[in-house]
Amino acid sequence: MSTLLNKLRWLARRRRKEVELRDELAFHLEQELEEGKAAGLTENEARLAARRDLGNLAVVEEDTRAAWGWMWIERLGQDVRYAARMARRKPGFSMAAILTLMLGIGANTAVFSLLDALLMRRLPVDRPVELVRLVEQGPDPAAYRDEFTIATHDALQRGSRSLSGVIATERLFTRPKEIEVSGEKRSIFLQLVSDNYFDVLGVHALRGRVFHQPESGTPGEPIAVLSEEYWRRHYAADLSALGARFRLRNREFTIAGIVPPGFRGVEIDVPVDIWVSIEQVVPPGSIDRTRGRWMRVMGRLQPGVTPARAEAESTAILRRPVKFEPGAIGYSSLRRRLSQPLLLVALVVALVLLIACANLANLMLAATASRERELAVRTAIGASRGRILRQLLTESLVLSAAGGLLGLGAAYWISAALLSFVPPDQATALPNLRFQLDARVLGFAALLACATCLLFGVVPALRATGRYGAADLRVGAGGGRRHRSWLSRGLLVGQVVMCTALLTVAGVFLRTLENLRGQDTGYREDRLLVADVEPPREYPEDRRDQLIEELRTRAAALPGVEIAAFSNLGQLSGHALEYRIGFPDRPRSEDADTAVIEQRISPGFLSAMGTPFIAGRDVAATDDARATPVAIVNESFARRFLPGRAPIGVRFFQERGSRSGELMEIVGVVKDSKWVNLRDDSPAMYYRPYRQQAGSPVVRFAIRTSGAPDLVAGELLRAAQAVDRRIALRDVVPFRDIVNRTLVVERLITHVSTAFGLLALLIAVVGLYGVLAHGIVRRGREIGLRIAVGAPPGAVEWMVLRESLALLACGVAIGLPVAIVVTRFVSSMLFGLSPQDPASIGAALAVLTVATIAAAYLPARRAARIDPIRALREE
Amino acid sequence: MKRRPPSRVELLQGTLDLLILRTLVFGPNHGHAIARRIQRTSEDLLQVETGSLYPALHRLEAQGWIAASWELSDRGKRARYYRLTARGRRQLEAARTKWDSFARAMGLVLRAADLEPS
Repeated sequence: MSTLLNKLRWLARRRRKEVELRDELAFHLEQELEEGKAAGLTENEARLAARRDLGNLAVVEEDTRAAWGWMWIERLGQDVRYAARMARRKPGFSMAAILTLMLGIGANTAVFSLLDALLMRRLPVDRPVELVRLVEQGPDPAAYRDEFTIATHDALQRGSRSLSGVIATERLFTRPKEIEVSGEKRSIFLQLVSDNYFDVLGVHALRGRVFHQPESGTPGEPIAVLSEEYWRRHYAADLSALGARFRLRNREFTIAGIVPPGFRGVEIDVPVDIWVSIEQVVPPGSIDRTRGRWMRVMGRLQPGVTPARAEAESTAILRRPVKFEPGAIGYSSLRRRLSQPLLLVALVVALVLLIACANLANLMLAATASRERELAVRTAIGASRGRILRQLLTESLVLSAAGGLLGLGAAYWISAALLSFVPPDQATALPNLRFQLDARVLGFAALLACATCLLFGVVPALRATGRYGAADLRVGAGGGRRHRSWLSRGLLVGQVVMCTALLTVAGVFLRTLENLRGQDTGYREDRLLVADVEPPREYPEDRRDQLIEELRTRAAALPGVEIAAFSNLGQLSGHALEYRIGFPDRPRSEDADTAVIEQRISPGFLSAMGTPFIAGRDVAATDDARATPVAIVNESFARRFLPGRAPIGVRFFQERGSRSGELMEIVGVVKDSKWVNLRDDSPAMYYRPYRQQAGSPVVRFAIRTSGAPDLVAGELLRAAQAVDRRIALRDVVPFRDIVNRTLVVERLITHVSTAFGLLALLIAVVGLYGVLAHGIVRRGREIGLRIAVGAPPGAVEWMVLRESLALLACGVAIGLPVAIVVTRFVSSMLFGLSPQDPASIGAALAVLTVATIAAAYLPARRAARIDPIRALREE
Repeated sequence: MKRRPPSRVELLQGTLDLLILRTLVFGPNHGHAIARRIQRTSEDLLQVETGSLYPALHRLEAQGWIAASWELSDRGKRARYYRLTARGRRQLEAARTKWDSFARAMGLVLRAADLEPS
């Protein structure tokens, strides 16, 4: 401590010390002078001898200052000031450097913050690393499940010794629930959790109290706990919220507490607004405790217990194999869907940053080469190699620090752009994924800035300080440096390699998207508007169906509407009703998989969707509950169950369900259409008249329009209001948007890799141009000589062009195998093409070649126009 | 031109600090005089380079082993005089003990070779 203070004092008295040092050395010189004179030298001789004896005064001063300690801060300040001055002197170079670093660091930081939120950020609970998630994993990867019954939780909670606590939390979907607050409906993300939830997680109330597990035998209280964010948003952080009442499933609850900010439950995709105990809603003995897997089960490991031991114990308790996965990062379905694509995106942006670094290193090489004289002078007057090295590195650091700072701003926008790909049905996750400037993100950006500085700064600095002696003072700026040019060519080749990989990735994903979109989906997505329509749930079913039919009639009459129809479920909605079917003339076989998707449709629905009929007729208004049950089947159905037969007139039945055994007669055949997404094959399906089956609480309207579909959306909303003010309309969007939602991953990667691929190309082109232009200036004399001895302009141009094409060829030769390794790695995300797709690779090569020629053209022309007389005179 | 003694010895790394501390035992002195004194005491075998003298003085000062003040020299000029501090004195003792045992060890090893039958 005392030495620290001491040094601080030194620092404060620095200016005086400088003067003192100069005086001290002057005194020394004087003493020497006196001695010399005493020894019989003349005044002049003595002075020279004294100076010679002292040596390099600047070096002595510098070394002495170094003894003061803490000099590095001083020097850093000096260096930074000097570097800033140098940066201002080359505004073009500095701007380009800072801009590319900003984009590179920004993109990497944005992707890091997303990956961090999805894969690494721990729940804000007590000792999150002790938490484990219960999963069931059969031999088949598709058999992975992390949803369980309440009874599973109860059994583990009672029986487990290796877990200090087990909680159950309701599996949440992205639609809010409805509660009633003083007679008014309110949509809210409410989660049912076991009553030990807050105790096991170690989350305490910020205000009021949370619920706990009651003493055995006593009933718990009907209380609810609010998140701080909801409290702030809906109660303006007013304490009067405590004690407010609301109704859920005909039970009255009181808001008793608020948890600290940041805690929104264990589901990353759906931040919770309010928690209620399961015990209050699903009493002991209720059938809902054993039926339906709608709970996540999480445990907290006892200190010192391994997950393996807990697994063995839980497997014994539940009498079936279960596993525990780390629970510190909570649950997220987006994580499963986006991890791999995001890692690819991370690779893409990392490559872009590398290209930017290679490019900067190259420009720095050129820049330091033209500073040879300055560096030689500084060496001659006593700067050590380390000192100059530090100076050059500081110049790089100033650039990368500026790039890093601006990059944080860019990361905010890039993150927003990336998140715009999150489909609206997952939008609840956005608050958790949004860019936050926390310590980890800041640290990452700082790390990137330092790493880039080292990447692009060290080699040029080492090169520049490597061979400088006083001799270099005599050498002009044109001193030949073969090494430098090999290095800079190597860097250019490296950039071409990475560009080849990036552009190929962009190419295969562009083609994947094109293939997915270009295939025959079984419907026409242009001029098609869809909407999810939900009549008030408290109405009886026939009243609800009546409202739906009324809305359909009104919608059909709207201007610009050609057909308005509806069905119980929507194409690409992610849901399906499956029934096993049978045929009266065939024996029933238990093994055969006869499950088929059923869709209940109104007349005109298939035509509205644009699914063409192959044979027979559409369902008609007369196909109602009293008429003969009919069905329309698709080609896959016909191929699978009726090969070689004419389907029309064939009868079949559902094996289970409310209408099992009832015979349906096939009256029509339609083309296949995609159901789950655009990748999977179309499933076998049959369509029934909506009015011959049980209705649905929500129906999907399909409206074929004559103009742009969004123009009708407003009209449809008004029509719904006119029918009944309480009809809820959701997702009123062109069907194209629904299709795009299934292509989130493909569109994300295509957009990112195309945008960043082109950015990388631009950087590389600028880099190539810079290196070539610099080379022309350096070789002006040689080129002038060639022209003077009769080289035609074309030959000179070709010489420059040939050099850059050779670099391109080298880069491509290495880049293509690299690109194929990358596309192989993502082959599961491709569609309809091989990882070595010739069209994508060809396109990437064509783009690269054109870009190379474009970059080389100007320098080549300039080389051809060099005036030999002037070039030769110059030196 | 400085007369260089024919058989000069290079200073061993790190020994200059010890020499300075020792020299200051005889009382405060300025840099030039310290160098001369070392030179004279070593019968001109040791030559102190100015380039290393002043950094060493300032380093010792930063460590608190010596202290400096401006005094008038015997010729009436302002000069920076260094004197040994209490801590410097302790450091000198420690360093001298270390040096003695080092020198003894060196001597033992080097002379032992002579006793070996050849």
